[in-house]
Amino acid sequence: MLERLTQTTLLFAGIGLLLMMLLIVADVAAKYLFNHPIPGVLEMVAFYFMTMVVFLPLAFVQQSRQHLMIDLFTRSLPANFNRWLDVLAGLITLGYLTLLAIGGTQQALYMTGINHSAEILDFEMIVWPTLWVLPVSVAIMGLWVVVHTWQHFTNNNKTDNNKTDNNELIP
Amino acid sequence: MTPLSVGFIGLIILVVLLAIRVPVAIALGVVSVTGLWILKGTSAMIGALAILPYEFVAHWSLSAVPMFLLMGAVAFHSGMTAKLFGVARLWLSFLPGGLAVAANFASAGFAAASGSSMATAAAMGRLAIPEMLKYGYDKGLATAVVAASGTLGSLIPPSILIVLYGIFAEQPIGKLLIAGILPGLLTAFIYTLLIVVRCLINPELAPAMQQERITWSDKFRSLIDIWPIPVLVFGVVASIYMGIASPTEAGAIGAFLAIIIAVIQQQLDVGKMRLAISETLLSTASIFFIAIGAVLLSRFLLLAGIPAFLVEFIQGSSITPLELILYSSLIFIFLGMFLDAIGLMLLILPILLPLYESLGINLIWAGILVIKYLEIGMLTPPVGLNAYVVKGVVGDQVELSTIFLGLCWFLAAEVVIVGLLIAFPSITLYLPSLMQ
Repeated sequence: MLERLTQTTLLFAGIGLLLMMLLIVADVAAKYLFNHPIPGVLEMVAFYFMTMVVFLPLAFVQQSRQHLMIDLFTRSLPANFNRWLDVLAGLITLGYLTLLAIGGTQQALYMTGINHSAEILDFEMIVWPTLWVLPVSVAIMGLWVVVHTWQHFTNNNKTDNNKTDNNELIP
Repeated sequence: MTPLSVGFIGLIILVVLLAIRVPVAIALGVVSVTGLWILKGTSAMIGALAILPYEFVAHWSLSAVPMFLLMGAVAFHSGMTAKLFGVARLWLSFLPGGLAVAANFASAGFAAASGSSMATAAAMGRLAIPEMLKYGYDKGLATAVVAASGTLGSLIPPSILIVLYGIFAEQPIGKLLIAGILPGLLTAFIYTLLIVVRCLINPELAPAMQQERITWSDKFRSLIDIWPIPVLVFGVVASIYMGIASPTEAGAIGAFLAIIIAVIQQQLDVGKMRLAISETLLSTASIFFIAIGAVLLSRFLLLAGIPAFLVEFIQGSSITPLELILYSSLIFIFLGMFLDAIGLMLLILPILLPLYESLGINLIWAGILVIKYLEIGMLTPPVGLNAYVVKGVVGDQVELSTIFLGLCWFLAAEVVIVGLLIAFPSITLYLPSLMQ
């Protein structure tokens, strides 16, 4: 269930990434071929596609445990001690994500309330839906943190034997 | 407690959290949020979280990052980059230490496309090191050249590090990207000189290969396989340099063309495309999550008065700009032992930039030096991360100490390179000065 949800967010992020690329290319082409840029591209990219591309994959990053961390000092500690460190890190992460989700929701509610939009030439582009991407993504990410932390707590992470020091940003 | 002491205690707690394996993004965020809460109360803290992350991300210039990453991922998964070493080999194997020189240039090309020095070291390590060992190359040379030349990618555009630096330092990203070109080429040139001279003095380092008969037509035919990489990189650079496209636009066109070329060459199917996209998204999200933490940290430190305090300290202590530049190298090289380049840069910039600004240091010049320092930190013993990546690739064949011993030569070369960059700022600033 959570996996499917994460895959869905990743799918939308991927669509956002490709659309972003195509829209920018189309804009440049229109600018040079027809001397007439496409209005609203800058706003579309910044508000819609950037939020999708940056926030939506967060759940996937958490699921595949790809967040950058430093394991130099803890590498040689006993496994059991490390397990408790993982639980502690999980709780700290949850605290931060909760605050991030609260802040994001508050702002999204406010912006939805005032029907926040951007003025582009002679039309208005609604922007408020993009405010919801952050709290939703962070919430799904948080669910993974709960799952992982519970696994560490009950020492039941057999499925995660492939966990290595994933420092590489691009595998 | 004064705000200042809250700030410093926050920084200490940050270090502790990082040491006990709290993810970098979370450690930055948690410390900043707690600090904001202590200094300004609950509603100001939530307010910062409500506004800062979204405003940082919803940003046109920053969309260059996912575009550059996508271009690199497509080039990698369509196999374009893997062929670079073979071609560089055909062209450069006549030189003393030819395979090492070829690995050096292939890494430069790969890194220019991928923008990550660790990814470059991993990929090139798999291709080039076995080949060099097969021909009896010195183990230290073979592994070190791959670890060291991976760092070229952060200077040669398109570079993710430079885009992020530009955002935090509020400097023109196009000019910064162009500023990296000459220092990057200088590094590649000095590395080559180092390899060739060492192999001339001590031919045992790189035994001559049996005379393979390589004709000119072989050489030129080999270029057909790899033309897209130089063309893409050159296209991106040229369009930024001539002001035809912003970095974001150049990145989007680069990614688009990479996909088209790979499809025409029948090197890209749906599976590979999905892999390239999900890798791009993974990198983008994790980089930006750290960057959001860094944005929050900047806000917290600002409210705590840390930058002002440090600026006052620096101005009171009659430190010259040159000394500051030299001292800051120590911080980067020390911390480069623990963190990858992007994480480290985002961690340090909020503290360092106000200092550079206060002494009137040119932030484009300083940016290229910062990136140089970051990459040197990836190579220094005892825990340069690139050396570990290479060690992971070669396994038991080569001792870690051998890799670091080999790297000492390249580090000596880096001292010369950084010396030149500091002594002659025009190496960095000449090309950007030609842009309108």
